[in-house]
Amino acid sequence: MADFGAYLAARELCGRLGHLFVWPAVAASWAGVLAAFLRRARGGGVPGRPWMRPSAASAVSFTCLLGGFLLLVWYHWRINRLLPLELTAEQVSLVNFLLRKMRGGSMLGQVDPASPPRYLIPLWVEGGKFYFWTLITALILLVEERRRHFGYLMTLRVMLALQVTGMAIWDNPFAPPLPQFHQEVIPFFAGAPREQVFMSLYPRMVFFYNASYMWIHPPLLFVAYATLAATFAASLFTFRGIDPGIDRSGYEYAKLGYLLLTFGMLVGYPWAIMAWGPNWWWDPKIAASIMMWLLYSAYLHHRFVMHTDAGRRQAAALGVLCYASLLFTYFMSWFFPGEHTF
Amino acid sequence: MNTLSNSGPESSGGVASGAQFDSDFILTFLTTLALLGLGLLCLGSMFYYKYASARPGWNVIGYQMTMNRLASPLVILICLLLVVCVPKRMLPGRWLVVSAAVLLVVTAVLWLAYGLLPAIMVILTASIGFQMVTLGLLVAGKRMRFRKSGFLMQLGSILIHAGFVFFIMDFALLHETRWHLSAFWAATLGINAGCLLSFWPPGLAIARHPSSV
Repeated sequence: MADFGAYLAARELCGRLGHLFVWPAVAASWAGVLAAFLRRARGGGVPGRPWMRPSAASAVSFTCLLGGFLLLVWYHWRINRLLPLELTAEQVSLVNFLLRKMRGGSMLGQVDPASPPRYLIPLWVEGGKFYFWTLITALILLVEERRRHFGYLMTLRVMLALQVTGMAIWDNPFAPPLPQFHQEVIPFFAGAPREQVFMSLYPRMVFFYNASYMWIHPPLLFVAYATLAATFAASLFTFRGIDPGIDRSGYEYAKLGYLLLTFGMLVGYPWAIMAWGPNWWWDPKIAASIMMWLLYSAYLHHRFVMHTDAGRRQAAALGVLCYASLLFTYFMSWFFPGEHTF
Repeated sequence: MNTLSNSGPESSGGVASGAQFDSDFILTFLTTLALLGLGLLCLGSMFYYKYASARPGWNVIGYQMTMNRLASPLVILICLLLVVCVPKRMLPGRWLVVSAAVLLVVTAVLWLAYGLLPAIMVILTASIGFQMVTLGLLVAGKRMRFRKSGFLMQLGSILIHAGFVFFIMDFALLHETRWHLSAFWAATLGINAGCLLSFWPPGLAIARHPSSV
């Protein structure tokens, strides 16, 4: 049975508790930056108390973000349990008739009155996208803490601190949780003609929220984005002098990121055909993604052939350009029209 | 495109050993230029879309056709490079230049005489044919010019190239057939399996080749 009241209570609780994870993560990420500076100012090798080490701040930041992520898992599970799109037998026969008649309706399937359709919302929709990317960036910083290169680690720390702060202020998934989804479902539970609202909610549920591609395409891209941040940080420090460990690390992350990016982008193709038809090709987001992928292809090609120090610096310049294109590809969705516009 | 694998001590090309540019370097340089050119075209298309889509009478199909037309020369160039990169594994340098020139002329003639699609079809079929010959020679244990030794790594390189060729072929020639998605998944599998084998070849520790980062 649908329980819209319990859903509203879960939403409010998720919004309140979420801030208890997000803002400590912001504080911990900046504390990590500050601790690294202080450690450097004191000569670097001075052993501090364990909780004052920059790596401890990175661990706290990651743990807070992970806690918030688990809270989102709980909230999305509550949506699944509390908001089934229930219809009466009469309404079901009407919507099934309409589904049979509408274009593409066969892909949506028929509604079974015994098991009403339920939302299975992935964790990377709306504010969850940037949050998930931030979480993986925090994980990569935690993994990279084993290195001893001050500039490289500091770049990753500052990038994470900026990302967490930006997420907390502009794209916070808890302020409030899933606002767009909430606006979509209100009419269904607020007394509007259910069969009419159902016909607008159901295609979006099937092709977007519950699409199996949704569990592959976006997360692969966000993990790729986070790994490529490490390539960017390594590229920055290749200009000043080549540190073999950092250079190799940046390259290894580039290979991993490229693999995830390639597979993630390709998997989006059959999904786009199914959900949008043929009219999405050369969409600004698609064009930006292709541009980014082409740049990373050029970066890897350069790395495979150029083995001199000058060649590595050229590749590093390309690595910086690649990351600029990555940021552009993500943030352009707010400024350019098209199918991916947020 | 060049092989997507590290260069090790047995590298045949690159500029590591001196300032002399060899065919590998030129092909990689041209590939990089073609990719950058296509990237710039993508960048321009976004701003054009934003500007044009707000105007009355905007036609998305017309825009797609225009972009396809503008991208065609660069896609042809990339296809050519994909084709030329394969015989370089089997043929000496001067043969490479001759085969590239012949392919260029054949493509240009076909493009002018019959249009874009027949030209792409011939060039992609040639590329697939070359890939299969290379694969056959690799399986038969013949020596070829790869940037890295090791059967799986070389297999990875072939899979990536063949996957991209197949992807372009699917997109250009099969997109309205019932084979479209099957061909797409085959290409995707080839590209990603090739990346895996080339990037992290089984049994090859990075420490064995400290120069190959």
